[in-house]
Amino acid sequence: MIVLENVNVDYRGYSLLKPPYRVLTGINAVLRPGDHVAILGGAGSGKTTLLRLLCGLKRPSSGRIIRESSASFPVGFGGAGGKMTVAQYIHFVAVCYAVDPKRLRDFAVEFAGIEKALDRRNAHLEADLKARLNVVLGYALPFDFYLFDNKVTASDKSFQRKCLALLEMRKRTSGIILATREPRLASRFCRSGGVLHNGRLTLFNHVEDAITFYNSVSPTEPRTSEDAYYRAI
Amino acid sequence: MLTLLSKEFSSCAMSLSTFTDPRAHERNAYVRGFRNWSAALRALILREIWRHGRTKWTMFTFALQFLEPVGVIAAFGFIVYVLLRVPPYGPSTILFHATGIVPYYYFIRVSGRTRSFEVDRANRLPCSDSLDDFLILCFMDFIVMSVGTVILFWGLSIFVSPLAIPIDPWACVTSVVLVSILACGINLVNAAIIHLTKAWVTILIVLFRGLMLISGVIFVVDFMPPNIRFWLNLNPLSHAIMWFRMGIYPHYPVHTLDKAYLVWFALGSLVVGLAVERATRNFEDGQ
Repeated sequence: MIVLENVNVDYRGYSLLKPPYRVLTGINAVLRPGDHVAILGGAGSGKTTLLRLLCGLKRPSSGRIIRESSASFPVGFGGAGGKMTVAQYIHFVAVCYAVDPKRLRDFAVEFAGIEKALDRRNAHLEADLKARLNVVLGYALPFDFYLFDNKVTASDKSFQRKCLALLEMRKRTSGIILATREPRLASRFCRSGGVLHNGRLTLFNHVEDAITFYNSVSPTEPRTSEDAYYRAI
Repeated sequence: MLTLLSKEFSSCAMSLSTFTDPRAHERNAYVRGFRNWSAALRALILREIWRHGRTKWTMFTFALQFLEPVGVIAAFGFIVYVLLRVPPYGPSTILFHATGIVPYYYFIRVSGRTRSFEVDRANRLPCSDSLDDFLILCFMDFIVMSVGTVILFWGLSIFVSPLAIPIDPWACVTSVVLVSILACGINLVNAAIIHLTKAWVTILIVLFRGLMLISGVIFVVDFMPPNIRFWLNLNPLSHAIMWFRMGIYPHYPVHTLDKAYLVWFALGSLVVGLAVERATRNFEDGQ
């Protein structure tokens, strides 16, 4: 279970003189294991910040987060250290999350087809290979909650199909939290939902109610290229 | 959905289901937290080793880091030998400068990683905190310096002077540990200032180089006139160097050495550094 109690997040710039900018205000939520929650919100509404709070990449400025369940880093998160090779990065992630490095590497190679890139440095990888690596590591590790920031797959059609199958597998045993601005994606993968608007989170038991509320407060259409992506998957 | 999958993917999915978190069943939250933390630290140590180069060159690139202080010791030894012919203290010019340069470089190395620390903030995984990154960077620098120091003094004892084997090893160890703690605190403060202005990096380089001249690296503090000695003793690094030399030379003059001053200065700087890090943690831009 992950509990957020009156969480506020402020961003400060480099200047001490300017007042901090409040991104999230008074967030209260209880996420139980097995919950499939979509967080809907427009660009700049604080979705990514909320995901970073949930997985522990960021601390709240005030308020409390009780994390009794494990949460993944956002699937596809590009945290790969530039100077490490792909094999070293996989080993690093495996040690971090206490899984067998060899098996994780075998899985990543078999699933994402990155065997030829194992000895290459992350900084020199093509964007497509890097995206595959980040996505496959996100899905492979065992978590109670899987977090997604606007996308659940990457790369080409066949890889996307495999990712979606993995997502379905993970959904059976774990919760998912999907932050998106695309209602179609939310209704496809989630049962309940929440809307981030003006820094406040409003939660709904049914994702349809969240979508209705989201459409009423944020009527802007998604960009064409993203719309094409969502249609494709 | 699974029925759509190829045979190849089915084997992938089978192997995926066998990945389990061995720490998930640990009921005590503190034990689980500590295990997570120690795993993250282990991984960060590995990453730090790999960052210096590909595996077979790792030890060589680590050794390269120690060549700078060795070069400085040789340069000082040569200059003093040519100009003065008499070492400032003891029988060997090289050994005297080595006993000053080593604690000084502990300080420089451990406190000089603020830039790496800043860069790594953006690339870390949620299992580790930016403070963990910082601790590991300092720890690895301490280890590299310690291995290099042992090899250096072992070599000096064979080729330069048998005095290089410490008569009081604990004095030397305490000195470099306190210098490293002092450097950790100053490193954290520097990281916070670099958040505000990148120009601080350039200023730091000048300040650190100037520090060598006022820390008693190339002279004996107790042999200075009283008014200069007073100002030199305000610098905690000069106390550390005196303490280190006390472990090497049997009768090194340490009348102005104030051990308590160094201990409190080191611990105080660490507390202030941690407080500053906590206060400026939200000074991140963007993500």
